Amino acid sequence: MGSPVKKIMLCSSEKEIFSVEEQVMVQHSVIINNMIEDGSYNHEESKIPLDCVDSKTLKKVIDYCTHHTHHHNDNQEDLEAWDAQFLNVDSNGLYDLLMAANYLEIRNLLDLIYGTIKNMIKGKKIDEIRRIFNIKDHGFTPEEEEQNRKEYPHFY
Amino acid sequence: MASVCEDELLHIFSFLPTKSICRFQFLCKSLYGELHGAKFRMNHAQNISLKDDTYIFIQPKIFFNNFNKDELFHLLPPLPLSSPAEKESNFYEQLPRNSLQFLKNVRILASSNGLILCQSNSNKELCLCNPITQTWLPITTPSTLSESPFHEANVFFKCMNNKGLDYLDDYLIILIEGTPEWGQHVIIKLYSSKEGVWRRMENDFFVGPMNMRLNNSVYLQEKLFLISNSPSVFKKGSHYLPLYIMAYDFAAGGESTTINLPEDTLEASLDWNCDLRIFEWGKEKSLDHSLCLVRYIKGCFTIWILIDSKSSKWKKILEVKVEEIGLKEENPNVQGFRIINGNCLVFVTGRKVYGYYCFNDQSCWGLKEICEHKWDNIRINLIPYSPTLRPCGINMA
Repeated sequence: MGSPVKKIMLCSSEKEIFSVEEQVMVQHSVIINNMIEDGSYNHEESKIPLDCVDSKTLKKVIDYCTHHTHHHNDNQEDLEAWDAQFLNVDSNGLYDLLMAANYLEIRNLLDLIYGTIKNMIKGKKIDEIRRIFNIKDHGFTPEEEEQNRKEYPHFY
Repeated sequence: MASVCEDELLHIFSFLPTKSICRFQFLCKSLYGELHGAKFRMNHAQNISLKDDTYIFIQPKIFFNNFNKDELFHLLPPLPLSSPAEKESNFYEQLPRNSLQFLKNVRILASSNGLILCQSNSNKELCLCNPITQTWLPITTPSTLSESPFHEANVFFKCMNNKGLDYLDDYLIILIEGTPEWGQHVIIKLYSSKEGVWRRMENDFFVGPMNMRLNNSVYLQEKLFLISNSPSVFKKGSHYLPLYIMAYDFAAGGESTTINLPEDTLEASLDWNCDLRIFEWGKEKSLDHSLCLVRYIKGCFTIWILIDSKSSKWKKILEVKVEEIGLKEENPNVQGFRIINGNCLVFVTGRKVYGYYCFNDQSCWGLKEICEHKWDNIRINLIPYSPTLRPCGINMA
């Protein structure tokens, strides 16, 4: 236990550097786990560049991984409450998180975000989903739209 | 969601369940085309392949005319103690009725990533089908199969999901053929989906002195595994020859190697009542991804996972009496079992099908009832399945 906690450096798109416990990222991110395992990460000098993740999002991702590493023995309800609070962001923030989790292959975070998106659209009509995804011009002619409505009334 | 472009939207959609996709096609005209395209469907299938199978087909091994197609297809309950988000994903997703009708008349041999490999009950022909998109692709019937019409094909089937998407060979179908001679070697043939032909591997699979259980194969890390048939009728000197596992290494040109069973199975494996099978344990890329051995004998399940194949080192992760895990049946009679999703032992009793789920690093197990069935004393095939939009073949999209 005496040895110091190993850290790795993550670099956001704004070139801001975040130092994180190695174990935290290895446990959650398939990509970082692979980098450490195959030796392509050098603890002395290298930092992992994450060009498509901005600082704000990266900080959230690190928060998520850290919490789930240190609190994985908490009871399920507490964890869920924490997750719900964590994902209480606007839809742009949700999208940024999704892209980051996808890039780093953080499976449980991905599942959490997709679960949230699924809930956002669950039972919604086509027009409401269009609003959620901000689709302004659907491109169907009025006749086609009418036809779809007739054929699949349960979607509308 | 502000300012999300179409590509990003498609990316998000590619992670959502098949049922949602059906609705999305009406969101916007340009999406309609994309959602029906091969690129999206392959991406979606690939993302679904990272998740657990959500359904199970339960098919009696004997052909029945009078069974109801609703009895074929069942939802897998979610992991005990899973978060509500996961429970949501397991909503009921009915297969199109035509597909169920079709599947009623075939033997389902295997399923992977939304595709089902089946064999016609009438003419024994093989076929790949996607019940969601209601498309199918005939697979050339191997010559040996048409010569012996009563045989069920021993095949291994798996969709390959290589990132980067080279559509060349997008699935692997291995035919495992015994030879008329007792034991010794097994013929391995690979199906080339591009040319529609079966290719015999240059090197046969040398399986040693015993007969192998050809319908219980596992493929992982480019190796095909088979277990010898129990119990042994051979004598070597005054000793019975113990059962063993053989591995055929595709990467090493078909080299065959032996893996010994855990020592504590050897004696039991001579018992006629002992049922030993091999499956895949853990998820791909995960640390515990390996071969596992499941033994059922006298009301007791034991599971070992292979730690090191060279030294035949095993780790026992479960030993449990069926009557001690909370079944509500009296004197449960286990008729069949398999591991699905790399963490769940599914087993069939006289009336019901159960899943015994492993979670939290093999330390916790929990029981869930999957469904009832009416085929007491009949061998049952258990085939896990996930709905996807995956095309049946490169040219089928």
